[in-house]
Amino acid sequence: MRILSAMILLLLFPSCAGDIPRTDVIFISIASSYGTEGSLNYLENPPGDQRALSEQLTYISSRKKIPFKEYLFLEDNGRMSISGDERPWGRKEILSLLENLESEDNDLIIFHYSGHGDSNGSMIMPDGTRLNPDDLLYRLRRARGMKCAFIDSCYSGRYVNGGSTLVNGEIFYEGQLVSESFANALIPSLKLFFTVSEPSHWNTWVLSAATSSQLSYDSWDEGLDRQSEFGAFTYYLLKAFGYRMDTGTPALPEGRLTFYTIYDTIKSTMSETLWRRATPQATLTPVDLVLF
Amino acid sequence: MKHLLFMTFLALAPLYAVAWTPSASLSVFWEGNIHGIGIDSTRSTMASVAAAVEASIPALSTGPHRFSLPFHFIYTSQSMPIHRIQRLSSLEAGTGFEYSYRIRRIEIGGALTASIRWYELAEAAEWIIGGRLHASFRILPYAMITLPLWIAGGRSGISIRAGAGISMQFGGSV
Repeated sequence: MRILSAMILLLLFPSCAGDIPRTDVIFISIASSYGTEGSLNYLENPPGDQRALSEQLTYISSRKKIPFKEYLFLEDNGRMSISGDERPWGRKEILSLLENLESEDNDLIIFHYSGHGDSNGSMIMPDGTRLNPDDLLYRLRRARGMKCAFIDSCYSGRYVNGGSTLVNGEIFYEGQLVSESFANALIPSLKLFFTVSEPSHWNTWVLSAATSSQLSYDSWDEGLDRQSEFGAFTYYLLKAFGYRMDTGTPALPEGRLTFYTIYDTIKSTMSETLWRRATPQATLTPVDLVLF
Repeated sequence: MKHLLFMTFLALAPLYAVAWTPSASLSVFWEGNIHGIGIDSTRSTMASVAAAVEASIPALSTGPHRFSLPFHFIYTSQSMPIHRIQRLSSLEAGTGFEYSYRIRRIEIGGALTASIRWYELAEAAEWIIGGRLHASFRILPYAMITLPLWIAGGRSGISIRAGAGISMQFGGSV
């Protein structure tokens, strides 16, 4: 009986979580509407995506007394600005920021993109330049700190492919998710076990709005509060961060926010129809990134 | 036909229990992951708590030697955050091949195991290949205190589990 009690105590005792270091949170966001309404490639919702995400992260950081910095690259109806200063920007300015970012090892860098993506997954800047996945991921990984990227664009799964050490059993047919189960994961997981690859250094987690062969959607209206005001994926991302859609205001999320709790929340709240057509892809590792 | 098979199974079950004397155990572990986890070039150890339920079917038992087929189910909790990262909780199921040597009240042995580990929050799977050593001490005619040590590895790195548990044998005495 004593032995059983000791075993139960041992199981319960270390369940307490440690404190998160109070280091900086750095938010880098890129959002483009590509001209004015009526323009060929016009997107209505990216500026609203950036605004709401910035509000939510600023609010959480303020309430939790965490130092917060942000760099907002915005093109809204033809007007370009960087953190409110009206000036042009493109691929060069974003890469320069990432290369010269002043951050420490324990800082959290949250990268966000809402805009067009081409068939290679490259982000299309409003000045016509393109930022391809390899260039972005290379500079993001080199920046000091823990990094988390949320990419809401077509073919954005390109930023996640090849970055996983686990398998989640997804099967696609003609671009749509048709099956997802533990049983599907068995054989690919076994094959992956015997594949030699570079050792992983887990400091960058990416969540994309779609696979590398799917489109994402500027809006998706199923009648939910304010759903048509945000990108289809970003709507659920904001809710996962705790943003209140009924009032359109930021709020503190319940419990601890980690990369995989956000992924899990999006998965459990997104409609099945949208999930099958634009299936969010996550870097799959056994290690989770604690955000707040 | 189904009834006939079911009745046959019921009739043979006691014979199976007496002839094969299967065993089961419940253990609690400390688990540490010491390889494959990097913060840039830094290796860090993440500690979790795990609980395991194991069942073992003896394949051959002769004198002090016992060869058996172990099956295990292990739940591992998430670790405490270190530098903003923490190990996800997981559920693992597997089997293997075990040899043990028993003399008087003591049994020592080892096993090679293959299992699949499922990380619930990431909803993703990983194959794990590993080995287990154990030392057990009889405390009751049908029960032993067992001290297992596991080392296992997969794509995500190597984990080590050290713990303690109780093993029960069904039919006969240990």
